[in-house]
Amino acid sequence: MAIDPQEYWNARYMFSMLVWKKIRASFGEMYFWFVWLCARPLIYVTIFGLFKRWSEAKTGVELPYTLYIYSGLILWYYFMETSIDVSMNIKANASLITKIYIPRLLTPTVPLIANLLDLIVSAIPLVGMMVYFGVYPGRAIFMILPTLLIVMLMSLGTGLIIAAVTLRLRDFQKVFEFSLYLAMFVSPVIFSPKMIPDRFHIIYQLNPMVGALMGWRAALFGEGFPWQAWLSSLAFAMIAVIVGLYLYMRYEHELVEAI
Amino acid sequence: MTTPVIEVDALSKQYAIGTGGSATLGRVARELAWLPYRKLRGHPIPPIIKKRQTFWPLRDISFSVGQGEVVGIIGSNGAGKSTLLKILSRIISPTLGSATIRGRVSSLIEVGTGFNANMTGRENIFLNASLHGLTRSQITTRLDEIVEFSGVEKFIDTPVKHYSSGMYSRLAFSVAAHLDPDLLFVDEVLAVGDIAFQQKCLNRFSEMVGGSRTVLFVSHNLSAVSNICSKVLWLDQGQVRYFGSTEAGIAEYYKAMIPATVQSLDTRHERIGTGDLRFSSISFYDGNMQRCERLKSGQDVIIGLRYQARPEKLEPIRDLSISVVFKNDKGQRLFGTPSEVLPTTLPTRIHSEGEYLIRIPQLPLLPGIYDLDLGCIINRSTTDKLISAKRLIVTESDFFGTGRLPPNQQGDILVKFSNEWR
Repeated sequence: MAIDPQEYWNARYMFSMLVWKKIRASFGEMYFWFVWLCARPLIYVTIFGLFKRWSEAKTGVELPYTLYIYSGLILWYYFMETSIDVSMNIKANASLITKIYIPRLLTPTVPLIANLLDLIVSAIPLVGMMVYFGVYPGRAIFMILPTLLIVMLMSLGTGLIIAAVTLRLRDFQKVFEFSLYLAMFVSPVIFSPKMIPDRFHIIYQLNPMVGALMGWRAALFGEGFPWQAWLSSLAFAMIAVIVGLYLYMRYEHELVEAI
Repeated sequence: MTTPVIEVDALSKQYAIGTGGSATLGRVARELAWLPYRKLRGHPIPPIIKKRQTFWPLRDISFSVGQGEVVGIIGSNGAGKSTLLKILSRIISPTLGSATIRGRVSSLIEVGTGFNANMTGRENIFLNASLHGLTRSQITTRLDEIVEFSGVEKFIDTPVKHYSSGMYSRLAFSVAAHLDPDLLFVDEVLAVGDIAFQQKCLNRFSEMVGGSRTVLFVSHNLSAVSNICSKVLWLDQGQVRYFGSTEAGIAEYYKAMIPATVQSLDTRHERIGTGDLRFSSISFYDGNMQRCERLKSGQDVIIGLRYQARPEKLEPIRDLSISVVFKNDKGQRLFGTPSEVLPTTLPTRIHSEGEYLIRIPQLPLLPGIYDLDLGCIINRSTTDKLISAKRLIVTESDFFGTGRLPPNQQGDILVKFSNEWR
C-alpha cells in the first residue's frame, strides 16, 4: 500500500525502458506516424474553420482561429489519450505484470512521459503557424511547463480513478472514452470561454480543463495569464491525483488478479 | 543459524473466481428497469453486484529457506505451486500472512517477458533485463556474454519478429541465465530450443545453482528435482504436505501416489460391462516374476491381471480381447496391448478365477506418472471396463548406460535407439 521512494528510484532504468518500448511500439506499428499525429488536429481545424467562416458563427476568439483550435486540440488529445492509456494500463501490460514484479505505479506513469513525444511532434506545425500569423509568446512562456504538468497530473488522476471504477463496472471504459469526446465540446477547445455568459463562469470553471487550456494558450500566444482559472485547474489536478492514487493503490491487486 | 532469506509465515491466498464482484452498465440498467415491477409485485430484488465466488489456492503455508538452499516445489496440478511462486515474486499479494524475502530476486515464471516483436534482439535484451531490475551498466557488462550464449550474434540487430521460434527462445533464455540474482525463482522454463541448447541451459542452470544463491524450482520433473535440489516442498491442495530433504520427500511423494503393490479393483464401482469376467486386482512383476514396487524406465515388466469369471456364460468363446491402455498424466493415450493382435490361440475355457499376464519387454516409458485403462470384450460384449484403473509410477533408470534419458518435453515414450556417423 505504501509507496517506497527507494524502490522507484531503483526502477528508473526500468521506467525509461518501458517508455522507450511504448514509443517504439507507436512508430513501429504506424508508418505515417508523424503525418497521422498532425493530420488529426488539422482535419478538425479545417472542418471547424470552414464551419466558422461559412456560418459566420461567433466563437469569441480574438486570435487567428486556426491557431486557437490547433493549439487546443493537441493538448486535448494529449489529455484524452494519456488518461485512456493510464486507465487501461493493467490490461495493456497484462503480459508483463502477471509474470514479473514491476513497482505498482510504473505502468500507469509510463504514458504520461511517452505521450509527450506525440505532443511535441504535433507542436511542430504549431510553431510554423505562429510564425505565419506573427503571433509570439510573451513573458508567460515559462508557464508552459507548469501547465503541462497540470495536464499530466490530471490525466494520471482521471485514469487511475477510471481504472478503479472499471473493476466494479466492467464496461465503464467505453462510457469514459465517449465522455472524453463530449467533454471536448464543453471545454475551450473550439470556442473561447468568453462565449459563456458571465453568470455561468463560476460553473464553467468547474471543468478542470478550462484553466489548463487557457493557461496553455496564454503561455504560447503572449496573452494575459488567467491565474484564477489556472489555479483552480491545479487544485483539481491535485485532488484527482490524490483520489486516484488512493483508489488505485487500494484496488490494484484486485485488478491484476481479475486479468 | 543465520537469518533465512525466505520466510513465509501463515500465508494464505484467496482468489475470486467467475464474474462476481463486478457488474456491467447493461446489468445496472436492466436491474433498474425491473425495479418498479419487482417492488410492486413484492419480488426479491437481486443485488446489482453479485457476491464473489472464492477459493483458497493456498492455506496457512509456513516455511523458511536459508541462504544457498535449493528447494524444489512439487505437487500435482492445482496444488498452488505457481500461486506460491507468484506471491513470493510479489506479482500478487497474499490475503493473509506474510512472505519476507531478503535479497534481489529474479523470478522466471516465463522467459522473454516483455519482448517486443518490432524491437531488435539487442533492444529486447535491454528491455527484458531492465524489467528484471538490472541497471543499464549491469546490462552493458553482460551484453557480450548474453549474445554469445544465445548464439544469435548475426541477427542481434534484426527485429525479433524475423527470428525463428528457436532463436527467439534462445535469446530469451540467455537473458534469464545472466541475471545473476541473490534469489532465483524458476517455474519450469528451463527446456527451450534444440537439444544442444537444452543441455547448455541445464549446465548453465547447474552453475547458477551452485554457491550462495538461493533457488526455488517449481517442477513436475521429479528427476530434475532430485538432481538439483537439496530440499523439497511438497504442496498438496494448497497446504504444505512435506518440507525437508529431497530424498525422503520424493519417496513420500511416490508413496502417496502409489498406494500398494497389489491394488484390489473390487472396490471400484465406476465400471461398466456385464461382469461375466471382472478384473479383481492388478500387479506388476519384473522379468523374473518377482513382484516389484516401482517400475524403472526400460525394464522388462509383466502386468498381472487377476480376474473372476462366470465361465458358463462365456463359453463357447468365439472372440476375446483384453487390453491395457497406457495414458500419460495429461490423459493422452500412449499405447495399448489388445490381446487380439497377437497370434496366441483363444483359450477353450476360462477358469472361474485366474490371472492374465501381459509381458512388455523394455517398458517404453520415461520416468513419470501414468494411468492404465483396462478393458475386456468377450463374444462382442464388454464384460468389464475400468478407466484409470491403476496409477503407475515409472522411475529413472540408466537405460542407455550414459546416465541420461531423453527429456520429457520430447514425449513420454522411451525407445531403444542407436546412431552412427557416415
